[in-house]
Amino acid sequence: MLNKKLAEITEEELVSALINKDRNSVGILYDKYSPFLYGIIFKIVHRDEIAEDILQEAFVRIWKNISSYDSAKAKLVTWMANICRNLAIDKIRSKEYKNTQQNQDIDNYVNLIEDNSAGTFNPEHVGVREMLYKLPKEQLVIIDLVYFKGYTQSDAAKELDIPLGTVKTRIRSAINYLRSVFNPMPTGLSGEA
Amino acid sequence: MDIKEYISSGILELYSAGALAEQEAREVEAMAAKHPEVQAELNAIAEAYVNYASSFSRNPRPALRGQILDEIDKEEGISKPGVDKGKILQMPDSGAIKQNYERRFSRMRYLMAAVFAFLVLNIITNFVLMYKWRNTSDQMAQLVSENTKMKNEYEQIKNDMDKKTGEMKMVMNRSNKIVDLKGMEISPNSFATVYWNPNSKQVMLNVDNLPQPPTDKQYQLWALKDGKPIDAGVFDMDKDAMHNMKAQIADADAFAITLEKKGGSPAPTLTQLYLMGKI
Repeated sequence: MLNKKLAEITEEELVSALINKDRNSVGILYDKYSPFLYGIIFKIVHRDEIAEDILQEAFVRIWKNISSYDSAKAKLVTWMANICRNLAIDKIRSKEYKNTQQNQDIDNYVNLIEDNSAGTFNPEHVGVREMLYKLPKEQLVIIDLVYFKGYTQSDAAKELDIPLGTVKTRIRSAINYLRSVFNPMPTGLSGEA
Repeated sequence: MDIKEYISSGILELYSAGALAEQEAREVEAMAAKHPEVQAELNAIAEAYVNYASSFSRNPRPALRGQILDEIDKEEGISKPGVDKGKILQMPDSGAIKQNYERRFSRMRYLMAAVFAFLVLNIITNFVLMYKWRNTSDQMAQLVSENTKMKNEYEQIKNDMDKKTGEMKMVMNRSNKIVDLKGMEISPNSFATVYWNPNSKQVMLNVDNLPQPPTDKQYQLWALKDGKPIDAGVFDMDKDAMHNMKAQIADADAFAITLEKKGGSPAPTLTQLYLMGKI
């Protein structure tokens, strides 16, 4: 059932193959999602050697815990992205990481979007990127804080020195904007399944 | 609560990013279970995050793929060795089996490399130990030889000591006659002492001062009884001043020393009389 082309394999097929411990399915999973997952991890840890370790840990975790994945609650990509985010965020909070990494200031955090673009950016998203720049910085900062840095609502409020309610309204506007940007041009990952 | 208001509050966006406190998150989950439109909104939000995140896609190093697949194989091999075989049988995909065998083979090669490395290390260690052992062995031999040398020296000293003790006993004997021999005209500064025991007939001679004789000559001790000389033996001028004379003298009233040809003479050469003393 997995002899189809990569793009034709549905999430459901892949998940059931993984649950059946079909070895081929890991390779397919890797080929389909590793740039996406690796990109998330790298965005958080900023270093390839660390990102590689985390990606490996994430795949082992996905392989082991696939039976606890509930397709009714989230799509596979969301579930996998969360595993990667959690591992990477745990990493940057570890003492070991903090000792080797200079803490990055909130101001230049926004600039990481530009940092990341050098040669690694997925060309199919070039248009999207341009549109992302139109998002007000204060909204982008909130998404990056909660999604990539693992800040809670109250941590973010404290960090940006704004009320809790403002955190909510800003993130709502930001996500609404993203939804409007991505909806007219669905990526391979958003899928129709 | 008005569902539309709830949906547009921003709390679902925070939930989706994992930014809510535990209790608030449980509330969102309860709402999602109860209201399909909340669940639908959560799905759309999650998709927006994923789309945003996918704009940061980055290709990992190509070698990482094999590394990660190997790691998963390793996980499987360790945690479920039994399931392993079953799964391969269920999957009549020759490519997968081949790949699996290849991975096993490469694992075997790693194992072989490890064994080989261990052997090399072992051999090196053995050489080092052997070298150290040889050194120790050499040092041991040296110590044994030094010990033997010291033992010899000790025995020599003990012999000397025994000899001295014997001589001392003889010299200290109360029945000894002690005769001072004084320098004659030929060597006025010379001096010697004879210890003669008439009971044991032993004669000891202690030379204080006599010139070194020529190499072809030796000093000879004489006992004199009523003017008649009796040979008491020749002696060398070596380091030891005390001489235990071999001759046994039963009776004497004087002792004298002359210089004679090597080995001694039957009668003293009176022109070469060096020392003389009466009892």
